[in-house]
Order: sequence, then structure tokens, then C-alpha cells
Amino acid sequence: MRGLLLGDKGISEMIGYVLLVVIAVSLGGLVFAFLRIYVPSNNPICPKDISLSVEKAVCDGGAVQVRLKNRGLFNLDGAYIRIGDKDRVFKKLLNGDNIRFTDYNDEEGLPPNSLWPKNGNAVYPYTEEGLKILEIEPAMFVDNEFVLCEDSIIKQNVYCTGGISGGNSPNVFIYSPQSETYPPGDVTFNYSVSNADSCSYILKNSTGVIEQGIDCNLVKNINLQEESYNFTVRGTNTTSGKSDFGEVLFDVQSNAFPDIVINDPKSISYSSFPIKINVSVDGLGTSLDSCWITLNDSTTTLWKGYGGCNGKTVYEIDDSLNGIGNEDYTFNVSVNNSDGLESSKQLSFTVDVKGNGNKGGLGNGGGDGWTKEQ
Amino acid sequence: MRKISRKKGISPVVASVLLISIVIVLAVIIFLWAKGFVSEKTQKFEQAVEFSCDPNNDRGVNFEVGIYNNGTYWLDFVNKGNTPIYGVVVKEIDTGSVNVKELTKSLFGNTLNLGESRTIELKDLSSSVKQVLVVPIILGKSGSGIQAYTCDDSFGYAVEVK
Repeated sequence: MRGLLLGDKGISEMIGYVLLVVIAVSLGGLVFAFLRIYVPSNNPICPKDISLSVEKAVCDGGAVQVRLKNRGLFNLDGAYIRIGDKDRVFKKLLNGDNIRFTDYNDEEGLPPNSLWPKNGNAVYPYTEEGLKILEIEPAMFVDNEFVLCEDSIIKQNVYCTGGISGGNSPNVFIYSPQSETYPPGDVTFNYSVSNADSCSYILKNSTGVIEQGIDCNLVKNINLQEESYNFTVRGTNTTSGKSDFGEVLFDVQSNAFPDIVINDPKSISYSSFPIKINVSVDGLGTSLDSCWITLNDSTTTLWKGYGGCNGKTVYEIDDSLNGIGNEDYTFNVSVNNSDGLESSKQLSFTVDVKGNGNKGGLGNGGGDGWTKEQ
Repeated sequence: MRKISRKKGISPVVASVLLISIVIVLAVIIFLWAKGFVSEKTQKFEQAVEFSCDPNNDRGVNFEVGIYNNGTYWLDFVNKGNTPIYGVVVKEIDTGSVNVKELTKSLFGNTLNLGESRTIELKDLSSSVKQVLVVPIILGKSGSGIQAYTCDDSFGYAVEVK
């Protein structure tokens, strides 16, 4: 037998090894593909330190008015606002049409310590009566996915008076000032309080009370100097004992920093070119000096200047990006004005274009006019 | 024996080529056959669909269910998780019996998306029923396209009937 085997010629050792390796690799690949789906992947989840609070919740006049404040550590991109009976699980989703904090899109969501909406209250039609539960579930983008924060749901009791306009709860509406920067001089204060028989307003800065009064409707100019101010209006219905208040934080500053609004690109994953760039720049009365955009991946920075903004008070950048590799990018817009004050705003986006390669980064370019920053 | 050893067979080169060809063909056949099992397995969020049924999973179904009785029984839902719910299977659990019967298979009309709430009428609920088990149905992808997958009963939400 031994002699027989030794005398026979079979496949060479080399071919034997190659065959073994090929078979082993094929089997390994097969087992991997099969088992891969049974390994839990790291899915995007909300961080723990999220805290959204109800600053205002009024339910009367056939509507629910809500104002929220981010008291956590992270920017929030939206919230699901539901209302329903206390003894039922079912709750009507009030903001199903738009669950995003759209007035904070430019700031990548509702920043910590900020109010939403920026001005006034979010108003949703709701005509039911009685004690209700207002339930708010925050949501945010994590790894470019919109994720609900189910561990950070807040609940608030509200008493709804149904469709009767006014009901017995006062309503405060502050039309002016708004949460923005004003030049020194006269600032208009305009508010109204409905369904209240006792009202007050107070204007404060860091040194103390500037002015206060007891009007339920006010239209008045107050001369203000450079400072940060807090304007609060309260209204009370003494019959029902219910009260309401509104608060606006604003700044007065002579040399206002230029304002930047990034319309495009957005903080999303792009799957095709070109990637549109649309940025509005406002010198807020002061002429602009220079405007530029930088684009970073993890290793490279591209720079592009827009000389057209020089000397103008308002300018719009309309451009596009092409041919950059699949990567995560930071897009930064900077503007300075003739007073030398500089503003910057940035956002992140991802490029994931099929067939574009995984790690081209900015080495591939970006289109016309972009230069590599040294 | 001598006779056989004198006969000429196929050359070692041809034998090697034949062996390699047979092994490769067999490997391809086995691979194609086994690949079917992998692609037919229903997946959601690029993992086995069972993971999405588990509320303890990051992307698992997380919903709240309640029964409301105002003469008619209503089944209330709120989807608080990050997985849309395509439908539910509602099972009636009778007293003193382990008999679990499927009561209704309501596909909601449309998917219960993230953050949404819905109420559906529970018809023909027997008077002896003490508890209903609500088992979610979710959509997953398989080799043959989108498929509805009914989660295991252990991932159901038990609600007392009052």
C-alpha cells in the first residue's frame, strides 16, 4: 500500500495548499455573512443628558400653546408633542406635520438654555375639554439619523377649556422686542395680555430694573444702551387664579457682528453631486469686508474667498461642491465687517456617493476656486 | 494486478486539473445554495429582524399599549421607540387557561410611525378575558423584498382588561 501511494502522482503540494486556503476562505466568508446579522450593531441612540422642559402650556380657545426650553447639554432637533386624557394611553400627536425645531435649523438644533419657538408660542388646534396630559418626547440627529429620546419624555398636566375662546386663562403675546440684537437707542416694546385683570411688565439688565409697569397692553419706545436685557410680562386672571407670562432676552450692541445664515449645505449625508452652497450674509447695517468658506476633512482644509461681498451690507454666496471623496466634512463660513468684527458659523455633512471611493477626502478637489490651506 | 498496472490512465496534470475543477464547481454550488439561506433571512437595520422586536435593543420596538373602555373597548398605542410598527397581533388570554387565541390581526390602516399614537376598536372581546397580549408586526427586508415579520410572543405587551 505504502509503495503504491508513493509511486502515484497526485496534485502538487502547492496546488493542495491553494485549494485548502480557497475552500477555508470561502467557508469563512459564508459563515461570516450568515452570522453577521446576528451580531447586534451599534445603533444611534440619544445621550442620557437630555432635558427638555415645558416653559409654557396653555390649552384654551380651541388651541394648545406650547413653549419649550432646552435645559440639557445637547442641541435638540425636534420633539413629538402629544396630548390626551390622563387615563388613556392614546395621545393625539399635535405636531405631526413638522416635528423639527425649524427656527433653529441654522444653529444645528435648539441649543442648550434656549427657548423654542424663538418668539411666541407654538400653537396647535385642539378642542377637547378637561384635564389632559401633555407629553413631549425630544428627538435629535445622531450619526445623521433622527432618533427619538424615549428615556427623556416629559409629561405636564394641562386643563383644557375646549373651544371657548379665551376661557379663563390669560394669554401673553410679546410682539417686540424679539430675541435678537438691536442698535443702541430707541427700542420698541409692544405686547398685549388677553383675559387678564392684573398685568405687569419688567425690563432688567445686569445692573437691575430699568423700567416696570402694570399695563395689559403696551406700545412704547425705551432708550437703551449697550447691554443684555430681559423683558418679562405677566398677566393674572384674579377670578380663576390663573396666570401667564412671556419672557424675551435680547441684546443692544452698537457694533453688531455680521449675521450668517447657511441655507445649503445641510447637516445630512449627500449621495450625489453637486452639493449646493447657499449662504446669506448680513452686515446688520455695517458694510462687509471679506467673506470666506473653509472645508475640512480629517486631514485637509480647502479655502475659498468671495470678494464680491466687500463693501456690501448684504451678500449671498451661491456656489457648489463637486468631486470630493466620501468623507465627513466640516463646512465653515466666516465673515468680517469694516469694524473688524468677525462672525463664523459651521456645520457638518457627509458625502456618500456610490462609486466615489471611500477615502478620497479633499485630495480630489472641490470644484473651481478652492485652494488648499497651508 | 500486473495487467492493471501496465494500463495507462489519465496523466497527473489532467487529474489535477479535473480535481481542481470539481472542487471549484462543488464550492460554487454549495456557496450558491447556502447564500440563499443568508439572503432569505429577514433583516431590519442590517441585522436579524428579531433584534428589532426586542425593546431592550437600541433600535427595538418600544411602544405603550392601553385598553380604554367606554362601553366599547379601545386599544390605544403610542410608538415611543425608533422602529415603525407595521401592525399588531392581539391575542386574548382567558382565565384559568393557557389557551392563547389570536383575536385580531389589525394592520392599522397604515404604519404607526415614530412618535405617533393610534386607537383601534377591539371588537368581539369575550367577557371572560382578563388580559390581551399585543404582539408587534414590523417590516423587514429579505431576498424576496419587504416582508412583514410578527415578533415572538415574548416581545408582546400584556394589558389587563378592566
